[in-house]
Amino acid sequence: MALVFDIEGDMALFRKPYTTTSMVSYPFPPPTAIAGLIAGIIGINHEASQDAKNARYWEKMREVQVAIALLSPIRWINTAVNLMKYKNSNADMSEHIQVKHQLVKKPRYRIYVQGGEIYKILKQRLEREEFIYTPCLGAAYALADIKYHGEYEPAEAEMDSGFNTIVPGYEGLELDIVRSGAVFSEQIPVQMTVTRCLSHTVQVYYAQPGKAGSPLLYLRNQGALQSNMINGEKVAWFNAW
Amino acid sequence: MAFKQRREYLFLYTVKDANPNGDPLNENHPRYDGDTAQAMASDVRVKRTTRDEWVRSGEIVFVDGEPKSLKTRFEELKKITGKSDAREIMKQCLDVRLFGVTFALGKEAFAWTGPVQFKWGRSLHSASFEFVQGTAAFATERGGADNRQRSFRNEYLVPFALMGVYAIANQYASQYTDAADEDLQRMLDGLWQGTDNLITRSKNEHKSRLLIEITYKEDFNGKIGALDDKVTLLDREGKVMDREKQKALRSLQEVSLDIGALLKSMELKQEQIAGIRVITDGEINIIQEEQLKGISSIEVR
Repeated sequence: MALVFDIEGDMALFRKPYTTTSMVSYPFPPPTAIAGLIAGIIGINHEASQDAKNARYWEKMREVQVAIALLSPIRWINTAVNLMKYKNSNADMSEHIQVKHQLVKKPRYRIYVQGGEIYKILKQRLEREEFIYTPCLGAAYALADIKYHGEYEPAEAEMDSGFNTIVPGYEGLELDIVRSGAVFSEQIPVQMTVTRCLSHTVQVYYAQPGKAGSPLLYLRNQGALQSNMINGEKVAWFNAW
Repeated sequence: MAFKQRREYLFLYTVKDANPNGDPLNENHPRYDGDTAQAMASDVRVKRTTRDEWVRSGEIVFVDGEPKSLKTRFEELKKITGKSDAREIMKQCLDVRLFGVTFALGKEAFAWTGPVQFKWGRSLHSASFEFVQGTAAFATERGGADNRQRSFRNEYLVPFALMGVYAIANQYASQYTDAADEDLQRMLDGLWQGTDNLITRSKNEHKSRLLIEITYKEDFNGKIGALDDKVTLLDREGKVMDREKQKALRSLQEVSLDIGALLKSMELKQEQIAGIRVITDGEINIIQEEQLKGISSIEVR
């Protein structure tokens, strides 16, 4: 079975970790952000109060699979925020730094989850519209609203139909760019260790929703990618954590 | 004692002939949403307002706004609190208990998520932005004709904006920072008085108008969410204003606040709500004021 819920908010910042002084965002939450969101909803603490590096919830994410769909057109806010420059080696905070921010504007995403030991408790929390830690879209000020759709039985997907979600480019995957119209791509983090080290990334492909709705992404060959039909939507799963 | 009940806040304030929050990347132009022309204020701006008020009232505040190094501030706090352990000292600071901290000094590195999270504030209407110039006070020291020539000062201001801010206080995060019920009370006071006390050139005049605090029962783990999206600004006759009319607003007397959607959300959650607190400045015109009085007393400040 698979759980389906939407997350939305005024803004989002899923920071690209390789940027140094600018806050540049992915256009959607990478799976690593979804893991944190799930942990927040069900209430597994990251234990960063002990050590800032900690992300202990990864211990509980084994066998969980997620899929992510974009529901709103991607628009950006470009601005700068006056912050303290606390990272000087001599801990000099007297200097302020105007950090450039790129934020996603009014985003809405659909998240699909299946498998793993957290599944049952996540379902319970979503059904009761509960969360333990306050959910956000990347940054703490980008507070998220969660709308639960329900639990669905994943069905076999037809080979020929288009994908509603972001598609991870696993081995053997071939895009059908002509049929898709336009395809965008990002290299995104998929999994972290319990001490917040990046363990692997994947190249993903997606179609951008426009005013007319969400276009579909077509493949010529899906290779090792796992897919399902869930509530009438064709979903591309990230491999299990 | 960490607080045990989740809370949600809606805070409205007006800005008149001032800059709610300048964007350093854009010549200090007020932050705004290019699609809707709503003025915006970052969460750090709102928290700065609150912290400044706490500093004035003698609370221990970690980020006191003064230009000094983390090391210096930490040494100061050691003296003030008489403690030496970083975590213990951080728990003495009101802003850390409420807003959290990322601490990295020497070998000590830890992060506490604050129980209180603010969204960026937004005006409830499209605003105008004006560019004004003035003459600088002094000439430069360059000699010749230059020292009789004063340069110009450029600034942006918003003639009028009614800003809406949403915040949520999470009881589970408070267990890590030890934020107490009294701390939330201090936040509410700091936010209200701090906004009224924003008396600098670019911030005069800011005025607090409405604060609604929803306190939930102990076992409630949900929220209404985005309270700022549940109120709508209408004209005095209760009619929707087009964008041009919204931009031409210059005072609170021209508008009324429709809180119908908010009241409906609160009604749906009434079994889970332990209490509602409402503070107004007595000037804001709320269409459903009678209904609001039915569920809470209204404190006028």
